[in-house]
Amino acid sequence: MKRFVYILVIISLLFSAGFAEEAENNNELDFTPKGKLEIKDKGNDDGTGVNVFFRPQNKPEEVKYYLLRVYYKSVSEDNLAAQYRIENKDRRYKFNVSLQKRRKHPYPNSRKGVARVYVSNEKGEAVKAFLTESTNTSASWFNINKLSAFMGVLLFLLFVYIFIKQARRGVEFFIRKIPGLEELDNAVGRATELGKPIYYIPGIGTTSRIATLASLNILAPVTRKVAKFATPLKVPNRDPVVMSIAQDVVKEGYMAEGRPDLFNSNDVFFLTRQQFAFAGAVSGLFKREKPGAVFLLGKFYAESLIFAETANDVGAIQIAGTDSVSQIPFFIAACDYTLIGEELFAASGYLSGDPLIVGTMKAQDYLKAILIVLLFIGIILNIFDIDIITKYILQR
Amino acid sequence: MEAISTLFWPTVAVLLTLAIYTFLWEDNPIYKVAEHIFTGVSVGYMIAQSWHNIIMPKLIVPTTNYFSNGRYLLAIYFIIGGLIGLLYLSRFSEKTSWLSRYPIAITVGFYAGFKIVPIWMTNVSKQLNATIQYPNGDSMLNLKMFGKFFDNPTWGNFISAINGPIIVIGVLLVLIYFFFSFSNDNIVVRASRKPALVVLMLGFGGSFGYTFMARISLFIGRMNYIFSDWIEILTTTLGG
Amino acid sequence: MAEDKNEKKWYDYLLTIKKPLVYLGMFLVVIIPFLSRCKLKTYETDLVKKVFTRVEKIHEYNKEHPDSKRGILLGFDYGPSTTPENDPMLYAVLRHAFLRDIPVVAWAPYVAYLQLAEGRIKRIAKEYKAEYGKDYVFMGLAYPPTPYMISTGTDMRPMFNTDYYGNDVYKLPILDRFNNYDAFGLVVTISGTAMPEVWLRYANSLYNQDVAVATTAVNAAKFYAYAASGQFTGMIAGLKGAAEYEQMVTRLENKVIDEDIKEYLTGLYKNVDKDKYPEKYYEPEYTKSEINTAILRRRQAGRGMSSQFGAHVYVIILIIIGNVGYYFKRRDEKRRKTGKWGA
Repeated sequence: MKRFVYILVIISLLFSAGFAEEAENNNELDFTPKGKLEIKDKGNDDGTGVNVFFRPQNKPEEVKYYLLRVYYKSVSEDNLAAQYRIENKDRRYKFNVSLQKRRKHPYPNSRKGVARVYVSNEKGEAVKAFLTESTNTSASWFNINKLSAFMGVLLFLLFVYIFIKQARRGVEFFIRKIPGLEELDNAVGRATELGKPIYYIPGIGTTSRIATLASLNILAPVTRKVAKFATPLKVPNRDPVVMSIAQDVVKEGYMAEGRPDLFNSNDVFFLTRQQFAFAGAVSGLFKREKPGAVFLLGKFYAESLIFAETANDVGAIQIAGTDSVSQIPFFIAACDYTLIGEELFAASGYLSGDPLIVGTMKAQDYLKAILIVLLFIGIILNIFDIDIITKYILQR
Repeated sequence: MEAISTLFWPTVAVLLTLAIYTFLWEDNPIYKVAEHIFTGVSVGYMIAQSWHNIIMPKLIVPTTNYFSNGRYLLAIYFIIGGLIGLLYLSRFSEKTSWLSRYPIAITVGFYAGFKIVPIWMTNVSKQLNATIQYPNGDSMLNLKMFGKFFDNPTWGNFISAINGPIIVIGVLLVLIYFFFSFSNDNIVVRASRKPALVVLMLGFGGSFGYTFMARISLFIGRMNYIFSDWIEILTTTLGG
Repeated sequence: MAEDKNEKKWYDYLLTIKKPLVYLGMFLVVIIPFLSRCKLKTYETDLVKKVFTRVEKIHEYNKEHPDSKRGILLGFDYGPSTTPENDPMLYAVLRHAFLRDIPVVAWAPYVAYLQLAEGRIKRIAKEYKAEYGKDYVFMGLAYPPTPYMISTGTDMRPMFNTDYYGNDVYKLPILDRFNNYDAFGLVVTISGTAMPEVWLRYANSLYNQDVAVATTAVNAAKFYAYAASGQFTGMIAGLKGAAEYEQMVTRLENKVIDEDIKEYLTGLYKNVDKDKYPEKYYEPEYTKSEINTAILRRRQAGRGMSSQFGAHVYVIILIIIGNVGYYFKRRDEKRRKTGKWGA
């Protein structure tokens, strides 16, 4: 029984509140407020966006200020999503509103938006409501505006898939030899002449970095060359997983040249995981052992110059290569030869024929060809003020 | 006592800064001490901060809150997430380390899937668009700009006239430089190699200069700390 | 070899200047402008001006729509290692926002940045009597950043649960409105990392949100491409960019506050209701040394610029010396080989 009384009290309170609001809004005005209000679902979103348009049809002398309120679901103070003061300047106003409960937990989002326009005063208070419009919104499964990005990504993935598959099946793709690739041989030869060891650093990245894999691919032919001359080769590592792969690669390289006796698993070693501690340890090794050639291939970060500068100091011939754009300038400044960015992958693909790398390289080349063509057409059309490509393909 | 809180720690910071800079003369024990303090402190600090800023507020507090609010479904989400995250710990044993692949697979899968379209838009389509036209819609190869320059030959007009063509030609050259399907004897590859290298080197030179500026700024920052902030603290604490 | 030593030419001296001497020279050129407290005015570049005008535009929009203001979402994306460059940028941007009453929502993506961020944001908020939870809020850790950026597309609150200080996100009035990209006129990412690229990918490419970047000089070359293409609304690069922005904000501040800063700060909390400013966020009063540092902070980048100038000139001279020495050495070697000169 008590419960019913409570409910009754609550209902009556709600009603009185509603009436109070109405009463407040029923102020007499000496003109009829007019205007055109539209509320539309924004589309291509999660169903929370609405666009609200309002065109006042009173002269500024009659109504100087309006107030636009946008509610989610229904008109109530709790559901207010946004409000805008509008000074009547006799033009069309547009607002993007996101329908959300302000205070409470936002799930579930509304599927209905209500816009209501009030005549307002200088303080921005609502004086009289005169227009209400509402719309249902819906969440989209697909954002049609991003169609061209979707197609582009799909095309690229298709290329990668097809070429890797073909490369794995044994199709041989042509990849041109990087002009500086002989430098690898020269460096090994130089170190042998001087009778000094060779250091090979496969970067400080993990195996998830494609640059590390590319570096390990280059390590194989370098080892074979080293095995021929019986020059000592050392590979310091920062990542234990990379180290174990590098050990296998070096071992196989010596075996392939028929010199398994030269392989000592302690020559491929782990130093430390700390970035700068690793840099310090390696440069210490350089100082003590004075290598004749240093290979810095793989992923490098801020420590790149520490390696390159120390090796330069001890007079080693240096071959560097990385895909970290911000480190390339340092390598160019301090090393004898630098593989710039993708050249590292191309060299790796050329030397190893690894289907993963060759396939990706090929896919990238096709994509680049398409982009170059697109660029050409776009530029030419753009000179004649035709913006099909930029507007419908690239800006999406 | 106040001097300890206001003056003591900044002074320690100054001394440690100077200790690190002694390395410029040569490697020495003072430098080593500072370096080891830094490494030790940063590891300890990170562990404590991770506990207070990740595990507590992002996992334990919301889970208990949702339970007490009766939002069991949300709480269960958190618990499932937490359990999957705990699988990372299986790495400590060789036998169970395969379990850690599940959380890795989930995060890598999510990021790869989510990243690929934004990366395409940010780095490919929008950049290509910017090679064709300026942000305001003018064409990069805008002949009007040249006309403007010949009407009024100032340095600024010259720069704005050649800016677009330089970008377009540079982009094309470098794209061809990194095109590996043609052989080295190909006339296009051979002819574009040198100019492409020039463009690349100009870019790297700019990057190098900027990096230099950054390194100097770091040094200036430390000097600023010593000669402005610390001196200020020193004089106000001792003087007042 | 012995012969070479006897024959040490002038260029050999140029090429073998001892490293500690080079460092000592650098120390001097940096320190002298500092101690002499010289002021250097810097010219203002377009990219920095773009950020400034964008913030001013938000201010104008807010004046027109006081009920549905736009805010700034601040990515505190830098750590202790790049504070010298990023700090002045943060100070300038925050001062600009608070000066113009633009609400600021900030977060930091890594644990190591948190305390740094909290201390710096509240320091600037205090200078402009910004109320926590109403004028600004520090959300705390947003790690890993990507999901937070994505969720801000609709509502960031469920991702956070609480702010840095442990307040419920649904109880902070500022977050009633400023919880998704629609409410933010600009994202400013102040960064020494690659984080601006992440912002660009998610906030800009996916949600068409304007993103301005304030970055260390190391990354500036990389971000130029995005700034030139209009993807970044503007860019504050390195100490130079920071000095420019600082200069613009100080000019604006002199116009808006129109009072000596020392007097302004001394009188700031004289006659205010101190309950509005809980001590948890900052103490609503100023000590003498705090005022002095606040004044020094106002031209931190500007002061650095004179040292920067000295250092750059110094290095240019070193590069020229090195290259001259190298050139003559090479020429002599060539001559020696061809037998035109020398032995």
